[in-house]
Amino acid sequence: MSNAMKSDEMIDYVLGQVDGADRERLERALREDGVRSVRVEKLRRSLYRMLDDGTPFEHSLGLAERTVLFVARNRRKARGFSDYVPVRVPFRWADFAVAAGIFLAGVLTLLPAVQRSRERMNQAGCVFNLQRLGNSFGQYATINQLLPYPPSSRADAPAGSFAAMMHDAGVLDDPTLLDCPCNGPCAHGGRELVGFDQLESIRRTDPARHSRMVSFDYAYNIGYRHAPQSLASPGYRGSWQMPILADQPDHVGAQIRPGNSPNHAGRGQNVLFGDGSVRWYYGRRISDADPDLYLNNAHQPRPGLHETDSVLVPSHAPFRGW
Amino acid sequence: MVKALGSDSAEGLGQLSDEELMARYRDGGRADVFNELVHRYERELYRYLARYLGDPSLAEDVFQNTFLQVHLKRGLFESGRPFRPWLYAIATHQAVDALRKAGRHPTVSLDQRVGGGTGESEAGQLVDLLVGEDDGPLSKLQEAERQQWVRDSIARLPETLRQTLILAYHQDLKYREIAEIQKIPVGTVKSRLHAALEKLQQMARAGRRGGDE
Repeated sequence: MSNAMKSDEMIDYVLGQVDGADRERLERALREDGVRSVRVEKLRRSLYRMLDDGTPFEHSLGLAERTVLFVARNRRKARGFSDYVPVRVPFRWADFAVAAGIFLAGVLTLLPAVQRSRERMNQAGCVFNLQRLGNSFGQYATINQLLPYPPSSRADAPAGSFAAMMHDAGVLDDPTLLDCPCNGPCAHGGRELVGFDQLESIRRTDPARHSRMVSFDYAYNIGYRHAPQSLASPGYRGSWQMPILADQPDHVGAQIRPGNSPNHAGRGQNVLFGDGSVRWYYGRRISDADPDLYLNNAHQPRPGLHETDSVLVPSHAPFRGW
Repeated sequence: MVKALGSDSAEGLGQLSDEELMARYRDGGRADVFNELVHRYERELYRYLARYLGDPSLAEDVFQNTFLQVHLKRGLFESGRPFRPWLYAIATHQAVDALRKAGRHPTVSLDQRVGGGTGESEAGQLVDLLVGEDDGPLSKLQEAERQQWVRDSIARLPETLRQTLILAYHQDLKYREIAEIQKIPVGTVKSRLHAALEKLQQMARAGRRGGDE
């Protein structure tokens, strides 16, 4: 292209994009250059052939008047939310799949968090129950100078009788504290609390009802054997080392199975100590002197072999042990 | 729009520029001023919309909605800015909305050239292509066939190229006006226009080869 007219100027010129002095300059250049002039004319024809669709696109009569009326009718109409919504949204499986995928991902993300949150809440509920029972044990011990324990003649009473004895002493009125919230609500419905003598009477007349009344989620310390034929209550000294109550062990009949309490899906157990504290144990070992929370040092679900050998048995197991 | 007529006669309004009319309508809301604007653009804007949408009936609806938006957004019109690009920008948005609502989604091709500016060598190649063949591939078609080919081919162009081409060639708008409507630099307008011409030329050549075979 000569200096007088470049290619893009030629296109601009043909498309009518050049005005004023520039246009005059280009027209002068074309007058002086016949070859260029022919080329421009060819370009003009080529563009015409390629772009002219021959359609006049005439509007219908009165479009302007109708438009003025349309605006007059609609000018005060405020735009509502529906105006921003697409008028026609056809159903598409792809949209549905995307929405379902997002929903599913959300559920899968949230579900474990919800589950963990529920577990933490139940765990806190279990600790709360044990702490309140710890207060009741403290009151009972203040009144009686020992923890709930039956007379020697009633050593076959279930360990769960401790609740009846505390009820007798007026320090326990709420039976729901005896259920660990982690293993679901009590299967027996509303639990009833009665005095120890009445409980023993029911034991003779209505064993099934008695069984329900002493079936708790917690295991109780059945004391130790301080002489061959003599059982003793766990000494209450407000000790932070002496377990009083704990989540019940996994057991079948009279056999205590290995592992942690089923109350918390085998992850561990909460243990209430004599000082009223509740601590979480990932195993059954409490101390060197008490290697198993649920068995005595002879590996039996029976009273401890000495004062520091704590044994917590399921609530329906007798004080004298299985 | 329903206020009493002012002292300007219809002839007097006809002497005013688009910008003066729009500024008066913005400030006074007079019906006769609005009427003048609608009538002034009735033919031109309808032609643009009809060609862009490819549907005369839809074009009339969009035309009416465009002026409704002009009324509703009159407060946004800035004095000193040209009216035509502002009106075309509103009309183009309305047209794109209408296409979406009608289920005809305007698409933007990924292979279109949208960079700023256009090189002299590329323009030179394009001019060579356009004037290089004696009669061009379209010259062999009957007039009606050629016009149908033009309509079909322009409809197949990527959205932004088609829009630019219609504004520049069929509506005779200047590059700077198109740049303002599309909110892009003038160089990009030229680039899109050249790309549109190049694609049409390619389509024409491909059609001829097909015919030869």
